[in-house]
This record gives sequence, C-alpha cells and structure tokens, in this order.
Amino acid sequence: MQHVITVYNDMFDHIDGVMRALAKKKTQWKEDLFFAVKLARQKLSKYYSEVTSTTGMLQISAHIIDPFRKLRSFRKWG
Amino acid sequence: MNPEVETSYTMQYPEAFLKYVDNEYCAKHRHVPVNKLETLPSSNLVPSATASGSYQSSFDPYDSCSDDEEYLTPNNVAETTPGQSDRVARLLSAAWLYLNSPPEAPMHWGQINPNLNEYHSDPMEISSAFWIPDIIDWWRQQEETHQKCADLSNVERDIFSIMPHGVGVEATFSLHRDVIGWRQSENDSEMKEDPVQSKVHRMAKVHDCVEMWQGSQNIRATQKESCSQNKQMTAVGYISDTEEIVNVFWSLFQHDSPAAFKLSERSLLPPALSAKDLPGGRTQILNVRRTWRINHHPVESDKDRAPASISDTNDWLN
Repeated sequence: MQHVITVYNDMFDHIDGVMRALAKKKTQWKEDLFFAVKLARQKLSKYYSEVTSTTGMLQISAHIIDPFRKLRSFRKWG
Repeated sequence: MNPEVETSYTMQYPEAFLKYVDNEYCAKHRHVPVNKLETLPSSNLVPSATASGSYQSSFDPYDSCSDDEEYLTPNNVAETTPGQSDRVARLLSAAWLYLNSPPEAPMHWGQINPNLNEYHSDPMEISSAFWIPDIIDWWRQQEETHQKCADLSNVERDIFSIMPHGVGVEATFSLHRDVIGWRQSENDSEMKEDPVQSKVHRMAKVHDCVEMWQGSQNIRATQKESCSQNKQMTAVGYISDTEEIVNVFWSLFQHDSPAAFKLSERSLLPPALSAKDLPGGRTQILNVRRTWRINHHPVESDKDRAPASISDTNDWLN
C-alpha cells in the first residue's frame, strides 16, 4: 500500500522523460509512439486523480504511516 | 484536497491524514455513550460494569460485532468524557508528533549487505540479503515500548491490512488485466462473434502441425537411410589408410627417365566399386589413375654420405 504513490510518480517521471525525448522527432513511428505515450499519460492521470478521492486517502495515509517515508516524498514532489 | 494545486501537496497531505485520523478514530471516542441504568434494557447490562459500580459501558469502538450500535442513538449518546477526550488528544498529538518527526533512517535498525553490488554473486544469495523495511515490526516496537506514536499503531494496523489491489484505483488495473492481459485470447470478441471461423482457424493450426510432423518424419527416415549407407561404404573400405601402401615391382621401372614415370595400364589395386555396385548408388567414385608411391629402399642417405672430416668436406665442395 505504501508504494502506490511512489510507483505512480515513478511512472509519471518515466513517461515524461520518454515524451521529452520523442517531442522533436519527425520519424513516423516515433510520432506514433509519442502519441501512444501521451495517451498513456492521460490514462494514468485519470487514475492518479482518484488518489485524492476517499479511497485514495488510504494510499496517502499508508504512504505517510510508513516511518521511512512520511512526508519526504511529498516534499520532494511538492 | 485540491488536486489542481500540486505545489501544496506538502500541506494538503498532512492535513488530509490528520483529517482521516480524526474522522476514523477520534470521532468514535467523541460519541462514546454513557449508559444510565434506567435507560438500559435488562438484556444489555454488562456484568463487569454493574459489578464495579461504574455506569460507563465497556463499549469498544473497534468491536464491530457487538450490539453497541444501539447506544449511538442521540438519546443515549453523552458528551465526551474526560478520559475519552484525553485519548482523542493523545491520538491527535501522536499524529502531529509523527508527522513532524523526521523519517526513520534505514541504517538505524537494519543491516544492508555491503556486497550487494557484487556482479558475479548468486542472484538468490544477493536477494536473500536485501534489507526490506519491516514497517509492521517498527510499529510493534513502538507499541511495546510505549513510544509517543504508539497510539497510531491502530491506524497502521487497519491500513496495512488492506490488500493494495483491493482499493478502487488499483482494482481498475486488475480488471483491465482480464481484458488486455494473459487471458486476452479467451476474451477476444472477434472469436466470440464467429465461432465457425474460430473452429476453422484451430483446424488450420492442427493441419499445419500435422504437416510439419510428417515432414520431420520424412527427413528423419532419409537421414537414417543415408547413415546406414555411409556405414556400409566405410566397411567396404572406400576410405582406407592402407590402400596406397603397395609394394612396387621394380620391373615397372625403366632406365629411361620418361618411361620411369609412365603409368601402368593395369592397376594393381583392387578395382573400385562403381556407382552401380553400391547400394543406393548415390556415391560415385572416380577411378583415378594413381602415381605409385615408391617405398624407400635401405640405401645410403645424404646423411650417411656426409663427409667425416673437414678436409673431406672441402674436397666434396670442390
């Protein structure tokens, strides 16, 4: 439970990195890949937005209740 | 929480956590009822409370299987007692203390294998040495040693008993795995729409498999046949190491040099089998005339004729 937020953010970081690498590419397959990655980010954003819902509070609380994480990751991201 | 304001996560998440603790744990203590004897039905009397003379019930807010829901009606709910308010205060203060304290450093109560980066080590051995933070044990220690954060152990126990894929957001991924994941072929909608096509597709796969099997059997039979032929040929002596060692009759040699190397018209070797004689007739052996190898005679070699002395050497050079 306590890893959910971290995994989400790692996935976002990875997708953003791939999008930055593919942003200026003009090859057809790279443009297609960029479009697919963009859709993946939208889908992931949809699920991540539910973290702030009532059920998502459990994941945030689990992240905070981990004595090795607490608010450290939030400070890094915030 | 406001998901649009990402920069305020640092403030929003602690507030949300405190609100969660307040709602889930402190609210129950605020509404713990004070039972009065005249209002209680006789069946709900608690022997321990009666024996001790206390009019407070032994209501356990974490006991979900009890009949205490009846006491949560507005008529029976009293204000928070001093002990309960103290408990709420302790819980919130524990949450505040926990949030304001720095995170635990792993090296304080765990050992990390210094050889983790050894490239050639056994992967199983390396993984067995991985240090995984035991959160449950940390909270157990907090509870046993009555630390300031010990009151939060109930929160930890409730949260970490939830399976991650049972939470709504993660359950979405579990559902999608049924559609896109390992069972995709079984849920393929096109196959379900046309069962005849599906059957034909499977039969085509079986037919291809049978054809491949027959082809492999033919190849194997051919290999076996050729292997047996090769063995027979070797037994006949086609590849022999002794066929060239033949004693040469000196009568074949003539003193005139061109005729000395003239090949004989009649071969002394046993005649080679032609392709017709071979079983299978695949290998054709050309009957090539050979230049006879002449065995060395025990004559004087150059070494034997070497000069014995230097004077003789000079004579020999001159």
